[in-house]
Amino acid sequence: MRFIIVDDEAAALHLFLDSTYSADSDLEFRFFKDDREAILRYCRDHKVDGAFLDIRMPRINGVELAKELIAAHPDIDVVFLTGFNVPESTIAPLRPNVLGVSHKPLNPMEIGQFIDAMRKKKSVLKVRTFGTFDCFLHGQLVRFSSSKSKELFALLIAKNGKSLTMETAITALWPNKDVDKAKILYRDAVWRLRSTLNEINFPCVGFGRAVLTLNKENISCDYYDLMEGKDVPYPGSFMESYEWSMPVEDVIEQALNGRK
Amino acid sequence: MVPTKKRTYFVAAIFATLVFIFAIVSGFVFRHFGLEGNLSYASAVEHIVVLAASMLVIIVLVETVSPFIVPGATWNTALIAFFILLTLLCSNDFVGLLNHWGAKIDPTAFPGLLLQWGFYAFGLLTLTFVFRFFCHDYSQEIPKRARLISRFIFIANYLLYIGLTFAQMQWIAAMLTCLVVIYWGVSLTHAILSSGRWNAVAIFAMSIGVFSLAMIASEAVSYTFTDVFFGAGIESMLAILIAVMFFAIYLIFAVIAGRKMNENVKKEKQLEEMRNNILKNQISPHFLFNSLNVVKAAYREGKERGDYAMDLLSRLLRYFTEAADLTLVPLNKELDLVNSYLQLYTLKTGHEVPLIFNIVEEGYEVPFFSLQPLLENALTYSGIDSKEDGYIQIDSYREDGRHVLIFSDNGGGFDPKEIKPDSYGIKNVKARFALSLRATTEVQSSLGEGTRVTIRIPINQEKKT
Repeated sequence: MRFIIVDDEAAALHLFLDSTYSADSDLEFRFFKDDREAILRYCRDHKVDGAFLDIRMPRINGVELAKELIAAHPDIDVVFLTGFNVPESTIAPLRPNVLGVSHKPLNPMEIGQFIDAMRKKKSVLKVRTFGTFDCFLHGQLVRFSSSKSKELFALLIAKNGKSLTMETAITALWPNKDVDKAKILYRDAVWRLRSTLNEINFPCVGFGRAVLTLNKENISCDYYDLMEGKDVPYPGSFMESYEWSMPVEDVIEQALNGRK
Repeated sequence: MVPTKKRTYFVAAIFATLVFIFAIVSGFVFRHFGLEGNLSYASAVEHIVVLAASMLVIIVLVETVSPFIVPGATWNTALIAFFILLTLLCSNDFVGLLNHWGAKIDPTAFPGLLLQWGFYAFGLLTLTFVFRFFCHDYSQEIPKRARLISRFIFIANYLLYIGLTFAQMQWIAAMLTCLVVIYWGVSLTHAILSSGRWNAVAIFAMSIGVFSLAMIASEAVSYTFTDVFFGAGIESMLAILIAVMFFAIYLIFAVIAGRKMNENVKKEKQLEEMRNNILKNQISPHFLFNSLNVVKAAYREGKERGDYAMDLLSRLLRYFTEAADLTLVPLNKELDLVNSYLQLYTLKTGHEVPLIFNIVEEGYEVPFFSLQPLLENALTYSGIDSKEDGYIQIDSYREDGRHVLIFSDNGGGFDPKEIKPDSYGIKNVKARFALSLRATTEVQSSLGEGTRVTIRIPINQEKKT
C-alpha cells in the first residue's frame, strides 16, 4: 500500500514510520512538502491509498488539497495532521474519505491506528506475559494510568478469557486492605483501566457490575499462543512482578510437560 | 401550571361568559321584579357589560405579556378573576335577587361592609399571590404540605368573603380571617428570609401601598363619585378599582421579574468572564514556561519520560482549546483533566499524591474546568503533598435522585469560619454548578481533618441556559 505525507515539518513522523513499518515491505511512504503540483502528479501516476495532510502550510491549505485529491481519487483515505482544532463542519462534507484528525504533537499510536484503518486491518494489541507484563500497540508501549490498573488488566489477561470478579481482583491486588477501602481502590483501578483503553482506542474489556470480561479478539498474547499449542519460547516466569501469577506458571508448566 | 396562550384565553373566555351571563340575567331579573337599588337599572346591563369588557381587555393584555414574565400567572389570574366575579355576585344586585327569593339580607348594610371586607380579603389574596410568587421563585422546592396549606388558604379566603356576607356566619369568618392572617405572616417571613432582602421589602411595601390607595380610593368613591361615573354605583366602582389594582400589581411584578431576568443574564455574563479569567490564568505564559521546563527536565531523564511529560502537557492544552466554548463537559473528560494536571504536578515537584477515583456513576456532565480549581486548592493549601498517607479522592454516585460528586482530601483542612483560602476559586465553582445545573455545593473542613467538597446535581432538571 502506498501512503503520502504532506507536511512541511515531517521529521518526527519520518522516524516513527521508519522504525515501526520498516519490516512491512508492502507499505511505502512518500513525504512531500507543500508542493501542490508534485503531489497531484504523483497521485496521478501512482495509486495512493492514503494521505496524511497537514492543514496549515505556507503554500497550500490541507483541506483544499484533500478536496482535490478526493475528487480525483474517490477511494483515497485522508487523515489530517494538525495542531488546531478542526470543527466537524469542516470534515463532515469530506467523509467518508476523511478518517479523522491526528493532533500535533503527533501520537505514534494514533498514527498507527489510522494506518491500520487505512489497511482495513484491525489494530492488534501485543501482550507480553513471559517475563514482565507489558502491552504494545502499533509498536508503542502502552502506558497505563496507574500500576494497579495495569495489574488489574494483567489479572484479567491471566484469566485467559474467563471473567474476573471484583472479589478475586481485590484478594489478589489488595490482600491487606479492609474490604471497603479495597472496593474504593478497585473502582479507581477500573476507572483508570477504562480510561486507558479508551485513550488507545482498544475497548477489549467489558465492564460489568463487579465483574470484568475480556474480548480476546485482536489480542496477540504469548501465553495464549502457547496454550493453543504454538511453539513459543517460555523463559520460566510468567508476569514475574506479580505475586498472584504463580498458579498460572504451574498451568503453563503442566501444559508444556504434557506436550513432551 | 404552565401558562400558555390557550389557557389564558380559556380563562378569559370563562370569566367573560360568567360576567355576561350575570349581567344579562340580573338586568332582566331586576327589571322584571322592579327592585330598587343604587344603580340605574335600565343601564345596569350596559354598564356592567362595558366594565366587564374593559376588565377582560386588561386581563387578556396583561396575560399575554405575563406568562413570559410571571410564572404561574394563569393559575393565579383564574383565581383572581373568580374572586372578582364573586365580588360582583355579592353586589347589591345579587343580594336583591337573594332577598327576592326570601333571604332577608339587609342590602344597605352591604356597601360599606362590602368595600371594607372586600378590599381586605382581596388585598390579602393579592398579597398571598405576591408571596407565593416569590416563595416559588426563590425556593428550589415548595414542600408538599406548604402547597396544600396554601390551597386551603385560598379556599378559606373565598369562604371568608362569603361568610362575611351573611351576618350569621361571622364567627366562621373571624376564624378564617385569623388563618389568612397567620398564613400571610408566615409567607411574608418566608419570602423575606429566602429572597433578596430588598426585593421582598419592596414588593411588600408596594403591595401595601397599592392596597391602601385602593382602600382610600374606594372610600372616597363610595361617598363622592357615586353619581358621576356612568351613574353607576359602588359595585361598579369596586370592579374598576379592583381591575386597576390588579393591573398595577401585575405591572410591578413585570418590572421586578424583568429586572431579575436581567440580573440573571448579568450573572451569566459574569460567570462567563470568570471562566475566561480562569482559562487565561491557567494557560498563561507563566504556566506554559513552567510546564515546558518540566518537559525539558523529563527528557533529560530519558526519552520515554520526556514523551510522557510532553503527552500530559498537550492533553492539558488540548482540553483547553477543545472545551473552551462549552459550558458543560462529560464528567470523564473533567476527571481526565484533573488526573493529567496532577501527573504534571508530580513530575514537576517530585511529590506523588495518590488520586483515587471512586467512580460508581459517570454518565453526566459538569461545568468545564470546574474540578480543577478544587485540585489546585487541595495542592496549594492542604499540605497534602507532604503528608504521609495523604491522598485526594473523588467520589461519584447517585443518591436520592441526584448525582453526588465529592472532592475530598485528608490534608490539613482549614477553619471554615476564617476567610477561605482562594475563596474566589470555590465561589466560582459553586456559582457555575448552581447556575448551569441547579446544583448545590457544600464545603466541609476542619483543621487537621481534611477538606470535603460535596456537589449535588439534580437529575433530569431543566437546565437553565
